[in-house]
Amino acid sequence: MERTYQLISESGLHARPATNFVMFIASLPVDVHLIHKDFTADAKSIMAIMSLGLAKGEIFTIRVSDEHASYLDQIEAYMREHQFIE
Amino acid sequence: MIKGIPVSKGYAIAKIYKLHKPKIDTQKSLVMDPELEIKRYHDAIHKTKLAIEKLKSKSIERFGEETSKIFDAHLMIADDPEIKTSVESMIRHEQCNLTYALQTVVDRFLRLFSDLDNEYLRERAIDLKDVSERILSHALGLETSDLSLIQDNVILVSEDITPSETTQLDTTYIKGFITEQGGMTSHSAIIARLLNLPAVAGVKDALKKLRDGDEVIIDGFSGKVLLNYDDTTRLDYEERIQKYLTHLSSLSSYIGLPSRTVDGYETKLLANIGTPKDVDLVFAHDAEGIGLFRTELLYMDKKEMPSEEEQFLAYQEVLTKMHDQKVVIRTLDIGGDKYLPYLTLEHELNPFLGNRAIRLSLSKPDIFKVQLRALLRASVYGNLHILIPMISTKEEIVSVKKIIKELKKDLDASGIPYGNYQLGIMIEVPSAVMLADALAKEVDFFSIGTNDLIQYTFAADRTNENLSSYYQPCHPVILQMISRVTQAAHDAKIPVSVCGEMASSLIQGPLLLGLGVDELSMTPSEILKMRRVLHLNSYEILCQTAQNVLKYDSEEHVLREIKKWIVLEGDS
Repeated sequence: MERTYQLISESGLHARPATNFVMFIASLPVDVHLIHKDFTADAKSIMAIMSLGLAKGEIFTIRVSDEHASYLDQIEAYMREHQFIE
Repeated sequence: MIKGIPVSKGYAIAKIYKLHKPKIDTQKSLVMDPELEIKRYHDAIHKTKLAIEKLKSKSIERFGEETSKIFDAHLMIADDPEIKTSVESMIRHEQCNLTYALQTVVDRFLRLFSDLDNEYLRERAIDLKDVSERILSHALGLETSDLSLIQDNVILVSEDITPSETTQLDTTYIKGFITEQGGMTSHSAIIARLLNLPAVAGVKDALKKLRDGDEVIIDGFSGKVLLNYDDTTRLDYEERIQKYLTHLSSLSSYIGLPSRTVDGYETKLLANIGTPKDVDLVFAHDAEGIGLFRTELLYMDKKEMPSEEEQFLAYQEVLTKMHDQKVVIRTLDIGGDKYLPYLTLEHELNPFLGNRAIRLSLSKPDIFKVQLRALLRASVYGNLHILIPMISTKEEIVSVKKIIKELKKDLDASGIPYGNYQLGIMIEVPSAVMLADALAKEVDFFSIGTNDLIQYTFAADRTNENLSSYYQPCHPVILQMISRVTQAAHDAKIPVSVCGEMASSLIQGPLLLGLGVDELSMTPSEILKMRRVLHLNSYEILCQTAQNVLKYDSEEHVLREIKKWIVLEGDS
């Protein structure tokens, strides 16, 4: 299961926001992937996330396996709270 | 016994602590058992994380939570699943060694980051390098040193101590430095004098000859490092340490006295500082102002350019604390032997003759303007003097003035206040000496940087220890240049100070006054010693001596003459 969003944070998904985001994702007991253009990154890898170079206004997708769909709500709530998405 | 160049006075008896900078071999080789190699990798990650945790708690204790957050990122990088998977699969598929695999994967990420060309990512690239080097060191069983973890009295031994390392020094435990490279004017020597620590530089093979944990005596007066000495020698040095400490405390009777010669000539002794924290030293040693605030540390100690606000706060703090006393703040003096980790500069064949100091500032006006704006805003809070380093042409100072004028217009438009300030330049390039008459008409003061002036005059790199014999501050050529500069300044009715090493020397400092220099700026720890020497000497004799030695043709001759006339010890 996946959902697509537009990144609104000023600095894109870099350094500090990414560090905190990855910490949060790492605390979840499921695999999470972040997809941007043709690249799929393990959302628990700070290095992978940052090398996507996601900038403000760009579209990205969050994917979790279907049986763990409920975690997608949690992730969405986190991203909204931290103003990654609207 | 081994010997080097004495670069900072004092004695210490303590154990050797070597700063390891391991050379890591990342050559590819085949391994018999890839799974064993992967296990080594996991062990190394584990050890690295433990070391980072330790650093983190230490850092929280000393610097607080916020500054220590960087270590959370380091922990994440050490354990990064993407890197881990790539390294593991590479070891399995290519049957290769861990160090090669990790370096290859890390390099791939570093390339990715540099392609993105984003400031934030470059910051993480430094962290990635740092963490991967730690993992490699652990994998190879090499020790890395963390200065902040030292809990015992030690003498540091290293190739050289970098500026960022010197910022972590804790003088409670660190009693002295021994370095293989460097000399009188290298950064670590300047810091040692600032902290009143004995230091010996240019000790060839120090890391090979000295063993961790061995007790040695370091003599910062003669440059000797004693190993395997007997009890009598130890007692002798313990006595010397006591005497030296008493000598330092007897200087305290000069606190509050004017800096005046026996015949009543009064000057000001100013302090050189590197951070706002050093203002405490300025007061402790009773300096009469700050003659040089080097702003490089504000930039070096960071992972990205300090913002205008950060700089403004630092300048405001110093100006406010100093009330109406003079504060000379020098704009960024990067390049040559100083660089910033986050600012990539073009590789140059001759960095000291390259795009450094004001040249760099003018070629990167965005960085320069941030600093000038912060300075202008801070000028409201005290007696600000802005000092521009390494001017070699008149056009440079004209450009600087133009930029300042534009910035003031911007500030006016936004209703942001700024106050009065003086604008001055460093005279440290021979062309500026020859141009001094013209330059004096453009600015409010001169400050002579003797370290660079000597290196540029003799065309001898001051960081090259094989050329240290060319470092001749009292050579008549240098004295003539200084005399020419003071003449030009006084003709234009502007003051001249000296902020290089010469001003800190108890023999050369008084000689500079004799050459017409108005004020001396030095390491805070030398202020009271210099005041004491001034109280023993006559200005008239200093001027006569200076005039006499100008016509000599060697430094040796000058030194012989001035030692006859300058009084260093009183009758007391």
